[in-house]
Amino acid sequence: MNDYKFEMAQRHYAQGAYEASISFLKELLSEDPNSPEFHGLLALNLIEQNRIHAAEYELKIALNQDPSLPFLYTASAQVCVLKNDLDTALSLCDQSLSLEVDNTDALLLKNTIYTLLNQYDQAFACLEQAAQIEPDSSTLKAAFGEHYFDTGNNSAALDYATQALQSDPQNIAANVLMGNIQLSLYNIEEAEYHAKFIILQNPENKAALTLFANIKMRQNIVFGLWWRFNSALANLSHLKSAIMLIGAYLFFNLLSQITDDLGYSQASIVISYSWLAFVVYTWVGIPYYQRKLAKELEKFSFNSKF
Amino acid sequence: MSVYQIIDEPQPSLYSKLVIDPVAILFASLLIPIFIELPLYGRFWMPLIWIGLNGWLLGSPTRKKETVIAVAGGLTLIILYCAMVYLAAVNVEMATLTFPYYRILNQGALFFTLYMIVFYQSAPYAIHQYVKEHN
Repeated sequence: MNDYKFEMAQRHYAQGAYEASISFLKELLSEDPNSPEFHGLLALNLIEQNRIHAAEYELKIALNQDPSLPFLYTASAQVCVLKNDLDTALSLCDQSLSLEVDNTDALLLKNTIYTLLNQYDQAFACLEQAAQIEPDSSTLKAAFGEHYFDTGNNSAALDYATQALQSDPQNIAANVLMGNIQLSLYNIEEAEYHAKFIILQNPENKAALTLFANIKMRQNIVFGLWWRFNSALANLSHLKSAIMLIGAYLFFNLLSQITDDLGYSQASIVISYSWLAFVVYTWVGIPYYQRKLAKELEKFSFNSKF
Repeated sequence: MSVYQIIDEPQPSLYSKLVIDPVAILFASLLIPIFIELPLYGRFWMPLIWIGLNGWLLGSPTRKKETVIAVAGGLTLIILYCAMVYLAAVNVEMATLTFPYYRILNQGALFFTLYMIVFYQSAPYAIHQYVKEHN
């Protein structure tokens, strides 16, 4: 029974149905709280939901129970990447690789970290190493495509994205990549198709949402700007977000007061109204964004090509 | 058999019906003082107590941190108030001139504190709503 539940949890995780996977794992952990595999898979799900604090906690339990499982180090490295602690993330990937040399997940994560550090040669070396282990992997082909896209070689990127989608049309990374390439080629409909295809599978996928926002920015400035604003806030820490918002508040209000004190009362009024407009925009933005997104997704239907 | 609880999930509380969206508290603290003058400078301390209490009712995993932030915010407001009172005692003219800036700074300190707590409470509140809808 437990094997069945664990298999279901793994399957749901692979399909991006994180909530379903978590409910299976909660049932499993209620019966057996001492399984590092259950805690580890739960942490992977929590990482996807951006619940870093909880993921860290689960990984700590799992590593205490069994420090010899390589995927726990890769998951810990993922947490570090989310916390922007890239050096620790790299050493955790190395730890994972020291336990399992053929660990392509760790190599792909190392590629991501090196890319974030703008060390493209080392990133490419990781991809080549992974290709020797799994030459036919669609995720790996998508990773090669991403590398070429990041380094400005769009034709090679398109080639790899096509190959990845041919071997696995549902591959999330390949769809995101293809969407980004199509957007850069101004094929808006194609780009939108790939973004929505992923959002329908996983509405929380950051890369797909960012791609969708980029597309919408080109079509609807108000909608796109709100999305950008929210994404920028979501990517910052609580402290930085609060500082940014209060910075905006202080900037507008102090500027308004200073201009008033200097005798430019008209300018002061304009600044006050600008601030009010910004506040109204942030209030109206939420329902507007939700309605627009719901409408966009209602319009979506599967392309016969898929 | 008890269900395994993930650390960031709110712990069920007897008073969880009283929990409200932390963003609503933030908006209330912005709007209510426009229409009603709250007693004893209530516009500054009431939102802090309300949002702090909300975290405990919600069973937020970061409620202690939220309380510390609320207390620190409250202390900052007291310090700003004392500084203004001192300035008024030393130099009334200067205090009158700087009063509008003091007001902006005061509001900034209050909203900064509220924003910080709202950010912490938003995720547990979303989970709380999700659990409520699915039970």
